[in-house]
Amino acid sequence: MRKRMVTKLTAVIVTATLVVSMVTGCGKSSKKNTDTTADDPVATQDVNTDDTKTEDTKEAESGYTDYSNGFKEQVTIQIPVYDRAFEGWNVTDNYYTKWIQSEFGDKYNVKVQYVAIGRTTEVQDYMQMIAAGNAPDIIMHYDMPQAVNYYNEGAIQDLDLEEIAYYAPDYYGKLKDTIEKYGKLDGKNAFFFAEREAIYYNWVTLIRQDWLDQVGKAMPTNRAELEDVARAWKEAGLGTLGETLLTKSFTYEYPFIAADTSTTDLAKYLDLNVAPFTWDASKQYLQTLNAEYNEGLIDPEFYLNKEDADAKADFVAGKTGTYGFYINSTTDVISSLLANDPNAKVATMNTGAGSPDGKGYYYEYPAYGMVMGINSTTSKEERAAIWLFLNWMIQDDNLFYLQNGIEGTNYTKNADGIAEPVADFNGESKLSNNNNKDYWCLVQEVANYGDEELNFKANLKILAPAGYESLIQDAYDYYKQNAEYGLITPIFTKSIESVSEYSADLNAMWQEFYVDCVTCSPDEFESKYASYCDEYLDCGYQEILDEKQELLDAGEYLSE
Amino acid sequence: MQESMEVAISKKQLQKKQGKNKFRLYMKRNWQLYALMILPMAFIIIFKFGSYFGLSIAFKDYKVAKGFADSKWVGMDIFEKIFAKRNFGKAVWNTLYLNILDLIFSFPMPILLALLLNEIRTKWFKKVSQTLLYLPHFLSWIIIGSLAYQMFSLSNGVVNTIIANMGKSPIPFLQENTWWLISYVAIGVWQSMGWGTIIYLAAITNVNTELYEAARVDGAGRLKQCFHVTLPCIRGTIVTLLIMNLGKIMQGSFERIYALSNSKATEYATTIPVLVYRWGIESGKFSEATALGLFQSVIGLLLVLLADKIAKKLGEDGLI
Repeated sequence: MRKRMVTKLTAVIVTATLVVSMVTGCGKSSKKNTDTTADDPVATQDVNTDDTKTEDTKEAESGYTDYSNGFKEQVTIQIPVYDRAFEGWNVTDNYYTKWIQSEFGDKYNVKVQYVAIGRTTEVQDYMQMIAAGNAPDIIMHYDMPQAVNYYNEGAIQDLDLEEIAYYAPDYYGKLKDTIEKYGKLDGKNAFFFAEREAIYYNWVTLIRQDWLDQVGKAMPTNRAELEDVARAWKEAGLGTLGETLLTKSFTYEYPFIAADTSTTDLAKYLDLNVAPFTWDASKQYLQTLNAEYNEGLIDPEFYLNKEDADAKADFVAGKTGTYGFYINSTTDVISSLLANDPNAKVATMNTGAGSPDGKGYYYEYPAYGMVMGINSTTSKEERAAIWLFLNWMIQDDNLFYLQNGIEGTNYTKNADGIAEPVADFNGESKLSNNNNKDYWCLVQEVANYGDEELNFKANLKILAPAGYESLIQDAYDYYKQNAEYGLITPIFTKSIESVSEYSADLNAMWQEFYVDCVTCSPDEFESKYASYCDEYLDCGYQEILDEKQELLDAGEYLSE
Repeated sequence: MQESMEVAISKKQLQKKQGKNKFRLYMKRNWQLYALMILPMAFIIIFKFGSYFGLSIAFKDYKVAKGFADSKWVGMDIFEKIFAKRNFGKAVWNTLYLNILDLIFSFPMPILLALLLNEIRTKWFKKVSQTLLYLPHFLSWIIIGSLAYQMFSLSNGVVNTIIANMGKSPIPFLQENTWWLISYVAIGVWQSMGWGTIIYLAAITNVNTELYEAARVDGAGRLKQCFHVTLPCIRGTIVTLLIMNLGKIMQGSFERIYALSNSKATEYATTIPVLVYRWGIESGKFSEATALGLFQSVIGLLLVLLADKIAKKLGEDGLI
């Protein structure tokens, strides 16, 4: 009897909880639902008219409320910022976020709240925040395919370009063409962008010049020469070529692309998110690496180098003689290397050294920087505040301040009008380790003085550690030699569903297959590669290729 | 006839009344205990049962921005999809395989160790060795993982450096499939065996000392006492723990594999928790991950029930 009562009681409690949680669950979602419809740009324009307005906010003819004097009630916008885990740097609360709040936020009665996004875990972070309903108002990614994924998840609302033009005339004036050309997806305006005046000399592969001198070799200019160098290093007992595990942003195949490759093949296979494992360029790459691995020329445990820090540690410890990275004047690679080995000398490796004929194709950046969309739950006031924010940030003075800090404190202006950073400045207004890029990347990808020569001079100061300007100069010269080999990944104007469906599985397969293809004995390579190709195609890659082919046939892509 | 029926009815009513009174009396006497139960019950209801609602996305095409309620119902489509995935069969098999190996090697070790510890007569030595044995349990798997690579990796590992110095070729402890499996199990045993002894030691202290005296009188040595007194007396504990471990046979620790795996030795490293992580956390396919998790839990539950039945058949108490 007693037992039955207790059982009944428990059952009632459990059911009640389930019902309550279901009701609350539904309630929340349905509320969100109505929000979303109100966010629809078309609907917004109608809603605008009967919105509660103050006397001083005028109704413009276009139907948008004028907020140039600020919002009557405070609007909070959440802005994403990449957290690169710089030591001693609080990404969401520092001198510059405070400055943004006082200069922009207080003027418009907007609270600018920064939300940290882990740089290496950004997709996971975003997906979880989107699921939890607390994602920032801007949803961003550097590469188009992932931005499309967010859109397909329903996380991004469609844009009203006139609204951007109304609230952010300067921003829109600069990026109008880019937004109109690349921002469309399935015929709708989905994305807006930061401008990008691409530079290629900020990615530098360091090579140990002292090792080259020791074995009496010149700077390698193609893959065979590079292998010669590595062989000589091995005989002298020095170290190997640096290598890391490739897990994303697939550009490894570029140096191996044949000169006569058709544009349709390029369009089908080039994809940062999905490794073109079955493509001939991949096979060349894998076979080269396999030979080098078996000869002991590359790091024998390269597959344990999952992070940049692992490869860096090997280079600093003198185990490897090459290391590629985005260089910055604040980098500690060279100083750490010198601390371990005072006789070490570094040089910039010729970019041709990676490819068989020394004429390596490379990944050419698209015309835009950051790809951004507005969160589907963002209200129209918040959206207006974001446009105002972008327009404020793209003003020359504001952007320059964010990029360089305070004149006379962080930098001095030289005769060319270029900001020269004060060496070892460590005051309150110190910039982040990548010159606050993660704040101003919303409007601009690379600091721009409007002239290539000036840009180079300025970047020399920003990129080169003091006394190492020649590294950047060499990188620039090598880039110039190879400039014609840039390849742009085509952009499809429709979302490719099979990519979002299979890319994660294919990525896991890629890691497994490619490590095995590199580390197996050369006799097994052909048979292993062939069987892995079949499996890769079977597990989704064929579907991706087919879908891309259909879009290519229908002309649904932009190739420049 | 009618009279007897009336009597029966009134008796029933009386019993009911008495029952009610009894219950009231019982609650009056023990309400504090039930009050104490409220908090843990609330915890389980809110955090365990409350989240059951989320399982619905295993049957939906869940889009993060749409939420639970607005995502489309798709029936068993998600399950069909995950069952057809290339890694699914491998993951199920690996999960079972790794856990069975763990059961074979990790399960008996704490019993053996508890028996050995129990025989130590020097108090300080027993305490020191127990503390040292417990220690690995408190280390995070991430730390154990990096320790393992410091110790056992091919070119940098301490152990392989020693082997190489002795003029032998290094052993790929973590970088070859079979060796990886061996290392995985061995590290697991090392990590868990000390902690596992606690329950057995507690059970051993409950063994009636008279039994040992009687055994000694009958001429049993320490080894025989172990086998004929200690072990039979803690049999109940062993069976209970075995059932609980059988329930875990479809689970397996994600952290352990994640910390120890690398892209070279992947044959055994694809398990259900790894796939749940890859699909759910890494690529945001929450529906697939949930479906896989649900599948795992259902099989796990069936296994527990089966083990419980078997234990009862064998004359033990069982769990339920």
